[in-house]
Amino acid sequence: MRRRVGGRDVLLDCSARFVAGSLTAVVARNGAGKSVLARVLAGVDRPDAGDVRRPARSAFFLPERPPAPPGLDASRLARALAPRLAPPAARTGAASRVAPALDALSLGGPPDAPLDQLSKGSLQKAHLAVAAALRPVLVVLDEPFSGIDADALGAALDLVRGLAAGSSVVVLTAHRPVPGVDCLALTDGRLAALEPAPPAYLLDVFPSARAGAVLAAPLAAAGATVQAAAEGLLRARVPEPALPAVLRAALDAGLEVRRLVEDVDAW
Amino acid sequence: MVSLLLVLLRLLVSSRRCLAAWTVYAALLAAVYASDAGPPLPAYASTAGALCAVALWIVLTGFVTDRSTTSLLAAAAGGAARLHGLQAAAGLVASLPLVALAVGWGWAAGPHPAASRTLAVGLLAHLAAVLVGGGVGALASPPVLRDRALCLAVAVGALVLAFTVPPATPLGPLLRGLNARSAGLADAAAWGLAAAGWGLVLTCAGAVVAHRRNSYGTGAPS
Repeated sequence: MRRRVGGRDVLLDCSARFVAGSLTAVVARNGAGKSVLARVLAGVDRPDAGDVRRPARSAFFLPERPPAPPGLDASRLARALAPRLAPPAARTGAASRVAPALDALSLGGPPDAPLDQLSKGSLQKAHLAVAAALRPVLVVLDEPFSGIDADALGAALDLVRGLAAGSSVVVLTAHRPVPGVDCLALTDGRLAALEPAPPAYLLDVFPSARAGAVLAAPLAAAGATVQAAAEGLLRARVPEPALPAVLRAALDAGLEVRRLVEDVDAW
Repeated sequence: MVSLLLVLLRLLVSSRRCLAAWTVYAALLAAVYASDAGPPLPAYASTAGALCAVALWIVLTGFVTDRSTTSLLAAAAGGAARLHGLQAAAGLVASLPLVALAVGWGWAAGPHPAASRTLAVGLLAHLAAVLVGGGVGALASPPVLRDRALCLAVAVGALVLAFTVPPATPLGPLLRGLNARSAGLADAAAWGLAAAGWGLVLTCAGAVVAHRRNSYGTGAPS
């Protein structure tokens, strides 16, 4: 398909197929046309040429700037959208599934908080919770993690993965490859497969001086990067495949592993 | 679709965008019926004419202009055309209480007795006025016309045309018939149905143009 916006061809010969149960990230830089593609996929806009074939049921679309319709909270939004978006089996009790999803995402406020009183990150969490509650056939998320705090990013990605596991087609846009997610690069208006980025972990080891010496070789072999060393800690970003070897080297040397978390800041 | 219509109605009411229109129309009714407004049919002609303008006002202000919300709702509705029709319908529904208010006020406050036929004609005239006003509103709202000032100018121009040029809409002949007290129930029903159909045609035309515009709130690519 093609799409022209503002006198410029933003999408040129874009071709892709997203199957049920898939989770795909469209990765591109600013202004490359991620949002234009997301709007066309969601059915908000039509392509100028070509065709988009969607499931019969309408799409759940989370725009880059999450909407905050006044007078609605997440449960009410889910209740209102359920007849259009939720498959018949998921329609009953859709609103009641919002609160547990918000809880998993640590909304940081009451689950019935009006949407127009939430910050951008909290709004994104609220809309992700609505999507999780509705289990739509097609879910299009435009930079859904851009405002979410680091502590909740893992839960947000788990929630999106859960949607795909429940046989939804999930397409999201991002600036960088999302670890463990099939990625397509949008460059010069065309989509191309992108090597999926392996998940990476942040590893804090104490004490930094000895860790630097002991782990230098395994970290270098793993392609890990040492990010910061503060309060006597050495912090390394280690790709998942190399993690067992680095951890074994650290523990064998009697080093103290203080923290091990998935690196979610990258996306 | 009913659930989305209710959402749009809720947004319209909770945002209080139609409050000013409701208040102005209630004040106008109060002014009309403060003294003897004359026989019911001419009084209904004037309140129906005013309601056409007020329904246009409600539909114009009722359209959600926030890009993110329109995108969410357009995706849920299944496209821009459906959302456009739903937004116009929400404005029309928000105008319906004014129909009841106008007909009821005329019946309760007018010193002249009104037969049930007269009330039926009045009800039909007000409903037709709402549909014509709403139809003009649907044809003059974003994304059919994106510039707010242009929306207003086109809407007011279309309204003036509807009232002053007889063949422009069937609403003009209907109101003139009521004013001349010459409209029987059959005439009023015929003109009223024609006016209502005209309003629906305008609303559908607005939805078609919105679909062809293909840019519900589109900004720069990102």
